Amino acid sequence: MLAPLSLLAFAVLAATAGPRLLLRARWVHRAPGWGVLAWQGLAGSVVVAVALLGVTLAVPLPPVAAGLSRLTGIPTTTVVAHYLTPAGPEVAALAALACLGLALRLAWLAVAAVLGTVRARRGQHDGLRLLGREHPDGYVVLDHATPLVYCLPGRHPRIVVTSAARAALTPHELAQVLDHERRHLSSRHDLALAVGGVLRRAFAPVPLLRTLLATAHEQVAVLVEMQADDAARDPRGLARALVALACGAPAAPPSGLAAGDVAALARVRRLTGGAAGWSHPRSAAVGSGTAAVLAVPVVLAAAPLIEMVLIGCRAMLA
Amino acid sequence: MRQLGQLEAVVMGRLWDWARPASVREVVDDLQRSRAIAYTTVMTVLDNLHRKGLVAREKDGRAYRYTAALTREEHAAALLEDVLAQSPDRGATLLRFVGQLSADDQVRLRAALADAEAEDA
Repeated sequence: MLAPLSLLAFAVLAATAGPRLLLRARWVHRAPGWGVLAWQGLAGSVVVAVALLGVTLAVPLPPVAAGLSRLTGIPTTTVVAHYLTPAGPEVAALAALACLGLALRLAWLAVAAVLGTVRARRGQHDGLRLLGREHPDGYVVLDHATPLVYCLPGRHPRIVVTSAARAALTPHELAQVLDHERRHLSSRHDLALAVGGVLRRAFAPVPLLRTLLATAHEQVAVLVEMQADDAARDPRGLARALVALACGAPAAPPSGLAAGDVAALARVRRLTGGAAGWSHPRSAAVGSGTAAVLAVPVVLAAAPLIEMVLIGCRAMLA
Repeated sequence: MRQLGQLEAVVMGRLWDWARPASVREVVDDLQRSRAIAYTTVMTVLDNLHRKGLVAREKDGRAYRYTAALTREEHAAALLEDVLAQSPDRGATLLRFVGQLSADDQVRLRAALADAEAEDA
């Protein structure tokens, strides 16, 4: 009875207060790598809490209870007694179905995302083979009037620079941009974004998770850019390159559907503002805080089991 | 397979440079000036390019004449369409250095950099 309620309370609290805290925290932009970890930890924790909420509600169902009993060695009747809710077997069955449905949806969207990414990347690689010119500095030049730099992560990572981008940048600025792109490739930022995107779409039907996962995905996208910015040896040079490339391209329609690049201004301010300090104790605090947030739903879900074990021990001692 | 891919790029390059219909024989003769290459190999390459929709072909007597389906510029534009599209899921496929900004944001961005440079001066 207590487990589903406490999980629900935790999920609501974390999904509402968590993003507010992280969006306001200044350290997140100062240490973007730790910021990514914190957002992923928060999102993961609430996803796990909601999943376990379903599981704990479904425990009284005979097949689930029998499985849990085999796993823990605690008699089935005891397991059922500790997880029984007044909601009745209908709610338990509904929760089990919802869990199963979401798991299937997640798997399906993950497969679709992988296939879509593979196909889109292959299209890029095919096109680059026909149109691109290999540059000795480790990127591909593509003749085009729009100044663009982008990278294709994966097993055959590529950095693409259009001819207009090369014209818009000094060799020193371009070197900073290449450092930025290389960090994306070596840190596999695409994986973080892919997982975030799949989770976001998979749990869009769950009200509590919809906003949280969308915000987390967007914030991680901003933070990986900042993390890649930190790879540039000359931040000021990178800031100049960023402004040259962003302002050299045709402007987006003012109120279009696309919000444009919301992070560009924050990135320029950050790159020109001078480095703020970061210390090991701060890293330790963020790391252990994230671990704690991830542990809470597991502990809450297992609380009735822990209680059973404790009662068992006391009975043996008596 | 890898070599065939490179050959595709070379053959497409020729068709783009010529910008007119060309027979397999013409392509072979041109390529043979710089390397030894079999007629059937070039035919296979052009067949592949046709299957991928990269070249159009028309019957000319008993042989086909091939032309590039899109110009180089059109092809590059199509390639960059993926990059310019503002999809929230694009980050899984490719990462762009900086996205598209509105005119107002461009002004703000320039001002932020100018402020920083002025402070240093």
